[in-house]
Amino acid sequence: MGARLAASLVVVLAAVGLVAADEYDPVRDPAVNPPSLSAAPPTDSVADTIAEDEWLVRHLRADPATLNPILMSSGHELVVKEMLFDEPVVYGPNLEWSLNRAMVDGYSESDDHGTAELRLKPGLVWHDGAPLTARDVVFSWRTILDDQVPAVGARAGVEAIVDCSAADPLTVRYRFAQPLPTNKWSVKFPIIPRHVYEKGRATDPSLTQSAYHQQVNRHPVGNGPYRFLEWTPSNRIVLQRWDEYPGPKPHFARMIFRIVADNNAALLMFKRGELDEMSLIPKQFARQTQDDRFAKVGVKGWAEQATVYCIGWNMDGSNPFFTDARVRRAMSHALNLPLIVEKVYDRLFTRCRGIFPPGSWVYNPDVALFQYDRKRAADLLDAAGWRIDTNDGWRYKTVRGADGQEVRARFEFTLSFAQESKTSPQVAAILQEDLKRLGVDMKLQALEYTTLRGRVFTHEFQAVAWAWTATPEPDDARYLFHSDARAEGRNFVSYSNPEVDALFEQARRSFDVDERRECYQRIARIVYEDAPYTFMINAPSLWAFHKRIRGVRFSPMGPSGFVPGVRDWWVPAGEAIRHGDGSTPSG
Amino acid sequence: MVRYAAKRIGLVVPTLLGITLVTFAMIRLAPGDPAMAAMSRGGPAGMSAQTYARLRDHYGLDEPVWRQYLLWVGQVARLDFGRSFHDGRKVTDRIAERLPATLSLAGGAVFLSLALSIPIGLRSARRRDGPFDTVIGTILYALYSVPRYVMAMILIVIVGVELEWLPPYGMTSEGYAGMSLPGKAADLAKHFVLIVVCFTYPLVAYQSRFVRANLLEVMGQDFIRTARSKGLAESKVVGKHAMRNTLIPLITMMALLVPSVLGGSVILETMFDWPGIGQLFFQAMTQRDYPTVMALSVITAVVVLLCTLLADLAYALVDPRVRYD
Amino acid sequence: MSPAGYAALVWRRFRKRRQGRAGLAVLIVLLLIVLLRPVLASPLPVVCKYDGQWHFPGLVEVVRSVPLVSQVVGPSRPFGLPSFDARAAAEKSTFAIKALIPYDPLAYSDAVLEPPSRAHWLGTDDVGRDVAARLIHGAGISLGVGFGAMGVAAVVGLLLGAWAGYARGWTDAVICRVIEAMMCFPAFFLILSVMVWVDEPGIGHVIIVIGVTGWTPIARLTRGEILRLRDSEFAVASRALGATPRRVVFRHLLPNALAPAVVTITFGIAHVVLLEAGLSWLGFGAPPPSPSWGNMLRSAYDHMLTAPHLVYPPCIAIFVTVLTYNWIGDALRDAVDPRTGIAHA
Repeated sequence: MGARLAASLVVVLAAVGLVAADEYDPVRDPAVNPPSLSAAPPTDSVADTIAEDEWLVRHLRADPATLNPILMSSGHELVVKEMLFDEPVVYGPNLEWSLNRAMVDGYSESDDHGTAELRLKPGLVWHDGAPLTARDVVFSWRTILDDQVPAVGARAGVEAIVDCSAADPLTVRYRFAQPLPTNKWSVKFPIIPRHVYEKGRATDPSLTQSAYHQQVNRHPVGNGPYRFLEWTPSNRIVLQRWDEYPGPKPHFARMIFRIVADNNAALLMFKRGELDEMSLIPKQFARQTQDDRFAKVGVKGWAEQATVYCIGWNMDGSNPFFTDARVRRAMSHALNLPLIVEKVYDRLFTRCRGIFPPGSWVYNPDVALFQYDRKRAADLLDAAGWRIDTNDGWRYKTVRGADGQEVRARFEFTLSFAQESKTSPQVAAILQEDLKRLGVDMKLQALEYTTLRGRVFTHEFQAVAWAWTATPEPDDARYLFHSDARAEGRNFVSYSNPEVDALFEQARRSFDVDERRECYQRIARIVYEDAPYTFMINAPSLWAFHKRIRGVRFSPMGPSGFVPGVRDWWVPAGEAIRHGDGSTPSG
Repeated sequence: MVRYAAKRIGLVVPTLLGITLVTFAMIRLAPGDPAMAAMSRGGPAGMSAQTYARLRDHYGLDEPVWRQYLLWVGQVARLDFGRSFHDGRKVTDRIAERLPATLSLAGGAVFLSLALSIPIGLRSARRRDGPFDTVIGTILYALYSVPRYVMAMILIVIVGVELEWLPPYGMTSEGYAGMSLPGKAADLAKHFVLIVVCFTYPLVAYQSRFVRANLLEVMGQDFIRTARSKGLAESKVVGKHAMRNTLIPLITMMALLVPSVLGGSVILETMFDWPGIGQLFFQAMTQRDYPTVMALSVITAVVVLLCTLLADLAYALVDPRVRYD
Repeated sequence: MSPAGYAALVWRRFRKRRQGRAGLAVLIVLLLIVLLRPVLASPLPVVCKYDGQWHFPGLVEVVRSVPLVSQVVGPSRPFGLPSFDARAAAEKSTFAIKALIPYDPLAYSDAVLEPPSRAHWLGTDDVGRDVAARLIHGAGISLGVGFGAMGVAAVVGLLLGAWAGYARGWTDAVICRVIEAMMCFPAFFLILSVMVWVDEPGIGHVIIVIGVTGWTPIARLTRGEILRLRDSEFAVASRALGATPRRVVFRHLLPNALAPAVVTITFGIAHVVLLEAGLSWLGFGAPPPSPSWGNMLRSAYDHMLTAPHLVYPPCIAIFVTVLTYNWIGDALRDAVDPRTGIAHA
């Protein structure tokens, strides 16, 4: 019976034409980054060639918790936010600091960099028609810093502004805590309409609990190129192009965010033409989008992204292994990254040269990568005093225990990773085998995500598979690698190097771009060599787009989240498929 | 009988309190808390000890746990389940909006499985080891041993994607709002088929074996032999005497099914993009959304308690030998 | 009738049923696979001559895989050393009998996602591990989880159910409340929420958690049956003859109440195997990289569209195992229950 079932399965699957794919090489994939995808919109006689009535259906992997921009924190919330809310300062195409010309006439800092002034454009209004003035900006600043408001994402950086005031309805004045080159970033915060939120604050200072705030947080009044239309939880959010938008208008009359939690389901929808864009996981990009069905509707975008995958080694002294830099380097040499890049990540990912991603202005291309070399790793472990016991083949060392007694410790530790991750188990299994050959016993521990976060935050781990996306401001790396960040910040591995600390301080206070760059490049090299983390790879942006969509460009954070970003996407008039009524073509 | 029922209902209250206490303790003892979950959503930029402290304060986590529990019980006594830690909405709203998807699915699966498994079980038992019993038994064994999610994957790929007979995900199609009423019904029905099939086939396998086993057992008993010896028609023996006694364990089992149908569906709901309770429960658990988890446990508990209560009362009704004291 | 006589009767009846014989045969084969996995799938040679010396690494591992023996018998050196490359050594050996599938279930290679071939009978998985080797080593985990968890559940469930049904009164009330409370929480979430705060997720925890959360249906059914049977003629008769309550329960009521419980338990073992697969799908099962069939299915799911050869082995293995339990359970049910047995004979 078993054999018969198997046979029938084979027949069925063979009949639908599913065959194991050969090795994948993104460079040779014709569906990747075709010229049409990035084609700029025609500038002359615009009306004839761009389908301005077209609708855009985008993928959202979860329901936003809120549409109030200062309460938002997740990536999928920010994707909706940037369509609804415009900010005075935005990311440019390379995530550089840039003024939003739709809203702002100018920004200037005083000579001593202690204060700054922002000039709003006259005549700005919110979606409900109420005027948008400097008082809204001041109100937003005050709300974000209000301890009773659970603003998590928005608060970071804004604390550098000690005072914010409206000199007149169009002028905002900022006073900074210290004269720093990073102050201009602190001005980049979301703004919310004062006339809407002032009303409920007296009864509900947290802006989250009352029925009124629930209503406005879920039916937001914004000022962005799209206004809110409707939200069906766990199904869709619909936005409508706002005709009074003061900046260049986007090319889609309506934007629909379809909420689909499962990636496989989303890809199926995409192949049926029900989604216009979605981000792909590596296996989907390399192996599940090679069929005719996908080729009929879609193309793929592949670009560098500022995401770093790494393994952190806890060096706070709670284990006898990783306080020694030689041991950490040995771990980096023992990780078979060439194989991982080729087989686990299908050559889509690139090896990582430390804390700053390739697109960054402080990227250091001269950092020498750790080579996969078990012999070298063994030598380093020997030098660190971890020697193989010929009786059982594992490494041991005599170390001083917590009570001051000398004990013989076996090199045996646990690598924790998020159990939701698809690739961490593979990477971990590969490292585990190599370490076993070296006489190091690595145990694996898959933890639920919130648990893992909690453990890492409280330094209760030995080694952890971790990832982060670097912000465009290199000073933010201070919170990860400065010794001061061990207790208060996010230096989870308790890395401490006085030289790195000094360089961070120097770079932070300098207004000389070249000097700053040199500092950060030196930091990148030192940290890489100290190996508090084994920097593995830079994860790229992997995206699928409906093939009619043009004008897509990628920033180091993906195809959206900057200006112009989505505002530049367009569809040629002849290729429009979703006219006004929202009908999808059948078949 | 009335006194028995009253007593049984009276016993529900301590059970319910026990459940809430254990659930509260369990989720509060789990590592990580909603403040941590909210912070991790913010990505690394939001993580700092001060933010953490502020968020803990915001969620009221610094109160002693017993006080939080009492506060919660007091709230629930007034039928207020509070607001979700995740998005601040009323927990009851969040659950209500997912209830139709789950209830229709559970109802459909339970109805369908009973409608199939009782006749199958009956027929198998009557012609024990006959061709029907052997063939159906083997097929059901085979089906039962295929994990639901493998079956789901196969159905999605073949029926949904390759053959395009049925939509493989979601509850409604694009443009559902603009359809006529029969159009809407047809659209909903189409979306139901695959997921209901995935839900139903293990139930059919299990229940029909169950009915068969119990029927066979009952048929061996004295009163059946007595009935037969009295010259009653075989159909009457099976239909009236045997079936009635087989119903008892079946009723118990139906009550047991409720939580597994409510809770065992995370994987299927994710695969079929089905906005049901299972997904909500799982998300709330990983987000440490205490109010939502607590509300869902209480509601599930009430439903199950009600079902077992009914089953117990049915026991008493169907089998006069069960005493009420 | 003495317990031995009863067991012999059960065995005689059991043997008569074709499904019972077939199920038992498959189960024995599965157990043999579990026992002999070091010589079935391992890079270690069964016997070899290496550096002029005779070694029996595979056989030593077979002995060591018996519970508790590994405390007494050490691994075969140098083959047992973690840093020793057994495959390379096997090539240098002047004489070697290799294992049937000469691969380590955990060792990765660069032959990733390869379809079945002469070298890899069932292909390789997403980090180039031999699927056949993993399948064989996974048998131990899946069988262990099934037996272990349902063993725990059956013992707890039968005893508590019988106790509640026979004693009635307060005992019954308390046990019923506990059963109700446990059953009110969807089992899957009960397991998940316990697994969340288990410190070191491991296969032992999976067994205990599934077992401790899975006994309630058995207890409830048993209680119901005992409740029904305790006033039946034979129970009343044996009580009248002065039998102790324990004797009445264990000799008269429990064997008679066993039929639905056995059906539940055998289906339960099958269910546990599937449950483990489901837990693994969500990442809460046997921790990776252990080759449990559930873990294999999880990675197979991720590659189902492009490497379907990964799906069949664990699916068929699970299928065969479940079928085996069901056959045995059915045959056992008929054998245990005198009434249906007699009616049939």
